[in-house]
Amino acid sequence: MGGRGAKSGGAGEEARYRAIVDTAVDAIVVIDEHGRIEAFNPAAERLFGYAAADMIGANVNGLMPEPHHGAHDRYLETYRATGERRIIGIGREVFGRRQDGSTFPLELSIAEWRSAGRRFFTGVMRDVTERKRTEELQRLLVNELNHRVKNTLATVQSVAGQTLRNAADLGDARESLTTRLLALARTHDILTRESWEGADLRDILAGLIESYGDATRFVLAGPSVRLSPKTALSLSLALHELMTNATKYGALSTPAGQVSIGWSREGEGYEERLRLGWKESGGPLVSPPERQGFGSRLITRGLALELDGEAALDYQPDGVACTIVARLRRPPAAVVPARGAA
Amino acid sequence: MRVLIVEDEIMVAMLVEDLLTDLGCVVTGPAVSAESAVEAARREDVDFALLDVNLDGGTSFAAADVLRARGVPFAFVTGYGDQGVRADLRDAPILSKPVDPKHLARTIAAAR
Repeated sequence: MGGRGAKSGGAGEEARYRAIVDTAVDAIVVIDEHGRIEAFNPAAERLFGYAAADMIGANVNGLMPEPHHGAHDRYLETYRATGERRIIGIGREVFGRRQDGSTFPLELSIAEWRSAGRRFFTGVMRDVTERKRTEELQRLLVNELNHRVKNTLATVQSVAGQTLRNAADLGDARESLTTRLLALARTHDILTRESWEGADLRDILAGLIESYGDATRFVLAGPSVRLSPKTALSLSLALHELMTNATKYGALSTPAGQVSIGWSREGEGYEERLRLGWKESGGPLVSPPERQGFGSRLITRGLALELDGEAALDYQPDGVACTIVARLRRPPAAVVPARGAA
Repeated sequence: MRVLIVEDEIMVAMLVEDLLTDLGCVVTGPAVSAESAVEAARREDVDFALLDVNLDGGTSFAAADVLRARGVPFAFVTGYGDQGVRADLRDAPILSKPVDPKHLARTIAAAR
């Protein structure tokens, strides 16, 4: 087409051009300046579900949903009259309409050419449904990631703030803050391994005991229990606080002390609950602390509310005992009227 | 000044509780679900409320409607930004997470 010195090579060359168009992966449709289809390649047949024989001579607007379907003749008219380009030579994403009436996003580029005094337009099209879906998914994931990061930062803000409020000195603050953040990170690791769908209580406990370093000091007994991400995060932080307290003042501060952690499941369906008991023995005589620290506040004030259950911390003389009851499944949120609730 | 806290993440609730207490507020809550938030919004005698937008799959918008009907001012706290708040409620102050204590202090001061 207008190539310098490219004189028509006759039937052989035309067959080669035809083969290129016929084997192209992208749909190629040629129209004249009135929108009548002149050529419709096999990829276009696959894309739109029409046979080329039925499309030759038809108006190309049959391949478009509204508003372009009704307006396309006018677009061509305007272009013929003014030469104003909206799409020719530019390319854009538009919607196509298949024979069955369904629509889909496609990437369209249009080239213009002339032959024997007539004007033609070649449209090259590619279905971008899959790409759009991937882009949408990626957008959702980035938003969700941003939300989770912000929430996690707020959690860190909370842990840091409370640690600094309660710390005896800077060294104590550094130590407490570090181990609390590590406890959060451990739970994140477990949740990430399970795509943030939940965590097994045993994995949470295994991580906790590994961070302590000596499994012989713990006695564990209980069934496998799946925890929601939220329950896993709060519970593991609470257990971390119990362990820190035991290490500093309780059963784990002496060579022979032990911690037994036992748990069971109670009830069924939405009423199913986890009952977990932490009991220290063989440690020094226990007396209640003079003031409430982060750990006891988290357990006695926060945990029960968040887990929709109970949490009790008891400084028994022969060893700290803690009981935590957590709802394992939340009933689907009741329909709350969106507005005008009286 | 009595302030109701609606927040399903207990660590964030504790943070907000501390920040509000520092500002001399008396806090009540936290309500941790959409239903308990509506319940608290109807029942609690408060001067202000701080509402986390997303509550375990639900939202605090119904609670906001109740507070608005009662004439109790409120602000949202969210990790999703303005777009996460229902359009007709966006005239309420929107605080992002993590919480800027100065922004919270200004919001409380404006409501006093």
